[in-house]
Parts: sequence; structure tokens; C-alpha cells
Amino acid sequence: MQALRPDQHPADPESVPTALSPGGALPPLPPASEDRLGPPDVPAVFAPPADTWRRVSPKLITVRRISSSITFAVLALITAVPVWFIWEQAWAAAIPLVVFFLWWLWAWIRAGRVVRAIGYAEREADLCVTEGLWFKHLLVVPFGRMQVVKVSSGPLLRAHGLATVELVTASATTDATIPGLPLEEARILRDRLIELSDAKGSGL
Amino acid sequence: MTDRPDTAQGAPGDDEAAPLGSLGPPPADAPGRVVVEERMHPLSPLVSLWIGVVAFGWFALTSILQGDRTFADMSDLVGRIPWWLLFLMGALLLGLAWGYWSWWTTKFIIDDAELRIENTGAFQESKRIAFSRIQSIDITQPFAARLLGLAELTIDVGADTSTKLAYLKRGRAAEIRDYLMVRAHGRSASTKDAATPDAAASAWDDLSARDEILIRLSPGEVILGAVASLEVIGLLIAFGIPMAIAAALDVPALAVGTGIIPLAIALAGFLSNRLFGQFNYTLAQTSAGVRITRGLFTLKSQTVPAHRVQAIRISQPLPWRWLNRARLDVTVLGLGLGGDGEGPATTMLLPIGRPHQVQAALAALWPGLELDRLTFNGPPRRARWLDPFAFPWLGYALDDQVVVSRLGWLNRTQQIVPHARMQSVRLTQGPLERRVGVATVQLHTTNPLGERIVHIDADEARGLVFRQMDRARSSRTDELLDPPGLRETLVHRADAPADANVWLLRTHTDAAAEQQPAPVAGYDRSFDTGGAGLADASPEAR
Repeated sequence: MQALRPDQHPADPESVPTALSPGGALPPLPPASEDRLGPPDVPAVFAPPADTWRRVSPKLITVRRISSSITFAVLALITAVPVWFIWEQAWAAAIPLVVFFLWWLWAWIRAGRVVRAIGYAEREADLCVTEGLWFKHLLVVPFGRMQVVKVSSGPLLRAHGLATVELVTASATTDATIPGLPLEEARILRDRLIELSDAKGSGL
Repeated sequence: MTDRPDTAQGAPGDDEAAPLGSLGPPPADAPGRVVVEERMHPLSPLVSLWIGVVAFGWFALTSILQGDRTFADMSDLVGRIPWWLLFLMGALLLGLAWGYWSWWTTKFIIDDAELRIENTGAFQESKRIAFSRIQSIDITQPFAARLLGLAELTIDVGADTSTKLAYLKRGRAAEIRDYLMVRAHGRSASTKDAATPDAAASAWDDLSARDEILIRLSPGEVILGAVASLEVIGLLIAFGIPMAIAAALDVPALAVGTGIIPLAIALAGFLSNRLFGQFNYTLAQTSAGVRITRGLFTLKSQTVPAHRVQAIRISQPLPWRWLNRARLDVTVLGLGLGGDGEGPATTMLLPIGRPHQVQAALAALWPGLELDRLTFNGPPRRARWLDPFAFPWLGYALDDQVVVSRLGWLNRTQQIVPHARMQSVRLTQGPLERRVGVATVQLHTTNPLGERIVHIDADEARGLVFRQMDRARSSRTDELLDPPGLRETLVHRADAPADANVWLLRTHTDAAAEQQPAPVAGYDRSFDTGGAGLADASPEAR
């Protein structure tokens, strides 16, 4: 539940300062560099609802590649070693290694396109998040429905100066996650979202 | 109550529970006034340990009857009791001692703003529940408690744990439930005119004279619903395969062992579970919402406040299509309503019913919604091969309050989501859908399963997402500005002495609210409580 200031009541739109009004003390998002404003290569169905999608940081590509390398290395080891011990044949152990190597290669190549497909945009009363290549998603979350805004950053993300912003609503099926935002932008976005959900809060 | 500070209902046999009636004036006049302060029923620890108590009592009884022994021989008897039985007895006594200690140190207190549960025993604990946070309250009577006329209150605040008050006398539990519901639902409670509360008139349901029974299922219907369910078909298939293999191998013993006996056990368990759980299923319209009462041994009473409904689902498994039956589930915030393996937040509102019964139940939850009068838009024909079996059924419909989506083939469902309850919307398109130019819209509610409108034209889907967002916002704003439901006024009871704290909650429909009677005796404010007639249960007034 969002906190309700005593001088404010969400049921009364007159008293609610519209967060996007010029007088509001809402921190503006930092200008995104050229490579982060999405090229219009998305199908019309997933076109940006505002003027453009704001992409996440390209550094996320590196982060994704590193983490998938670690994951596939571990997976390859824990499958190849038992196979080797059971069959005692080098070629048998090579099968999982090859499979995971190809999988890893594919993930490595695709990482760029996957990350460039992630974007977000603010509308007047809701936040839109898009992601996915094969299975494309476009999620719209009203500011008023946000219960929690989470910012998290693991060691790998932090080393690249990135953070993940996650929105939680009362619905377990809402999975609004914006991964790989620069720390400063993540902080500002968090503050904006809290401010906006406060102003437009509509309870459950 | 405030003039009787010692209101703990301690003594066994104290049948006259303190009335909720003398509630005193409306809240603002005396903040912090304690309305109720009492312990649970003194038999509660016994009920919690009832299996142990019964076993111990049975053992004592049989050993005394069979052994021709009098209590003079007790020392001799003790010598013959096996050590493990003594151990069990010790554990039982210890459990009872602990139970009575925590019974003695636990009190629940209702004042003008909240319910508190104070435990001053081994762990100092104070739990506070503000009325406005209460989502729903259920009454459960496990078999042992039911024999003693006790009941348990489960108070749900939408968090992952619910608070229990176990056990209270049944009538008292109903009274407290009604009072808390009245306070919890504010103006959004829907209610009929106030009447004298006479809760718990029958041992078989939880209804009072003012409640209107909408549907009561006969045991035959319940059994029909259980027998013709997809679960039974699944069991038959699961056990039919080993039976067929055994028959093919010509080993009758194997067929009996692997197929028939386990199948019989599983079927008997499933059917009896359904029958006992849903026996005498009664759906009624009460002052606090739609109330479900059910159960043969364990009586359960759940109240679903109409304006806390997050989503409604009508489903029709394949066999039921021929029987012309359907079932109705609702999603309400909070987990306490769970059970029946239906997922944490879903309540079965009508386990089986004919179309007119489904319509009646639906009308009680969401008046004015007539599914037959909606026009459903289906997916385009080019998407037919994506879902060939379900295709003729798929579709969605909109009205100004809800969006309805049709899904499924083996189990045809219609999911109803009020615009005002939608949390977020997602547009999804997979590679196959992209080839055909269709997309799927997911409507996110607090129902963990979510609702979907599948395979509609992609541009239409995109438009629907954003329009749906606007609809959700505007209908939510409307609701906040002008809460639905009825208004209530606390009025002084006409036939009571002027100085007695006896009050009636009068309810008005919105239309009648304009011409409400002038409030009596200086309390010229109507306050935000829904519900009915709780305030006049004072013994002096009876």
C-alpha cells in the first residue's frame, strides 16, 4: 500500500498533484544516449506507445554474456563428468560438452538482439515494458497499481554500473522487470515511480 | 461494556456471552472505547486436543468397565499400564496445561478502530488488525468443536497468514463476525434491512432470518458433480491402463491388485471428500455479502463481500456440457479462503448448478451482468489452426463494468474481470501467432492464474490493451469517488429507554438514502458501517 499523506486523498482528483505537471518536483529521467533510443525495427503491434522506447544499457549485453558463460560452463561440467564416469568413454562425455557449447554460442550471438529488444516507456498514467524476440511481450502497468518498486544489483551488474528495477503489483502474474539500467537512471526511475504511484494510487 | 470492565468470559458454563449490542455511541465520540474484551471459550484447549482427550477417556472408561476395577485399585491399574501409554498421557496432560495457560493469557479485544489479540503468556504478543484491513472472515466448525457448539473465526487481511480466534461459542462467533464485517466493509457492504440478529438458528447452516437463501444443493447434485468430474475421468484413465495391461497379460490377480483396489480406494476417498465437504451447500445473500455454508462433519461458512471480488470464473468440464451444469469460482483477495485444492485465493462459489442457478449466483455477486446479452468477438478464422478444438468457443466481450473471456476445450471457462480490479495488462505474441497476425492479451488480477484473451487480431489486441487500461482507470476512479453499495445509519432503537446504549443499524439503498429518517438522540451522524442489526443485541432490550 502506498503511504497516504494526510493532506492528500486519492479519491479526490483535485487535491492530487498530477505528477507530470510542470510544477511537480518529479526528477526528470536523464537523457538517454543515441544507442539507447530504440530504432523502430519492432512490428507495429509492439511499437512504442509514446514517441520511442527507452532501451536498457548496452553494457547489459556484456553482463548477459558473462553470466551465460558461467552458467553453461557449470552445466556442461556437471553433466559431462557423470557421463564420463558412467560410460568411461571420452566421446560420450563430449556430447554434452558440444551441446552446451553450441547452446552457449547461440546465446552469445543472440544476447545483443535480446537486450536491444528490452525497452520501457512512461505514459501519462502507466508504465510500458517490452521484451522478447520470439515471444514478444508488451506489459502495461498503471502507476496506481504499483505496490512495491524494487531496485536490485548483483555483483556482476554492479561491476558494470547497472541495476534492475522491478515493479510489484497485487497480482502475482505481473512481472514488470527492467534489467540493466544505469545506476543513476534506476534511482531516478525508482523515485519517479514511487512519486507517481503515490499520486495516482488507487488501492486494490 | 465499558461499565463492566471485567468482561472476560472465563467461567465454564457461562452461557450468556457478553452482548455486542451495547456498543455505545458512534466511534468518534469516544475514541479507544473497548467494545469487547474476552477470552476464547474455556473448552478451546480440549477441542484442540480432542483426539487425545477422547482416546484417553475411552481408555479410562474401558479399563474401568472391563477390569471390574474400582478406583481403589487404581494403583494396581497404574502398574499394569504400559509405559508408552503413561508417556502419552503425560504428553496429553502437558499439552492441556500449556493449552490452558495460553488460553488464560490470551484475550481478544475489540475497540472502535481495531481488533487486538493480546497474549501475555510465555511470548508477549500483541496482534492488531485495523477494521479497514479485514478482507473476509470465515467461520469453521471442526467436528469436535461442532459437537460442543463451538466455532473458529478465521480473519483474513489479505496477507499470507490469517488470524484465528479459536474457539468461541457459535452464536458469539457469528455475532463477532457480523460486527467485524460491518466495520470492515464500510459503505461498500450490501445489506438488507436491519433485523434482530438470530444467528446460528440451525446447526446445519449459518444463516439468520434476514438472510435470503439463493441456492441449496441436494446431496444428489453434489454427487453428480463429483462423479461426472474431470478428476474421476482422470482417475479412471490412470488406473485403467494397468488394468488393461493386466487383462491383456491374463493375470486377474494383477488387475485386481494394481487397478481395481487402488481405484476403488481413490474413488471412495475423492467422492466422500466431496460429499462431506460440500454437503448441504448453501448460497445465501446476507448483509455482508454472499455467504457459503457447507459441510457434513466440518461446517464451513465463508462470506464473500461483493465488492472485494477480484475475478469470477464459470467453468464447464466436458461431461457437464451434456448435463447442462456449470460451476462458479470467485477470486477474493487473501489466502484464508483457500482449500479444496483450488489454489490459494480462489473460492468455489457454486460447485455445480444449472444455468439459472449460475445466473442467480452471478447476479448476487455482480448485479446487472447478463452473459447472454453480451456479444462475443472471436479470433479471426485464419487463427483457427492454432487452437482447433477450442476455436468455436474462444472469444471475449466487454461491457462498461467487466471484460469476459472464453477459453478452453475440455474445460470450457468464462472468466469475468471487473475493469476496476485489473492490475496490469500484457500483450503477447509468439512466433506462430506472428505468422497469422494474431496476439494474446493477458489480464492480470490478483488471481494467480491470470486471465487471457487468446489469438485475437494483433491490431485489435494492441488497441484493447490500451483501451482496457483507460477503462480500468476510469472505472476505478468512479468507484473511489462514489463507492457502490448501500448506506447505513446508526439509529437509536425506538422501543428502548432513551438512556440505554441500544442502537440499530439502518441500511438504505442509494436511492432511499436521500430520505433517511432524522437521526435520533443527538447522534446526528451516519457513519461508514455496512451491515445490519448488530447493534441491538443488548439483553436489556430483548
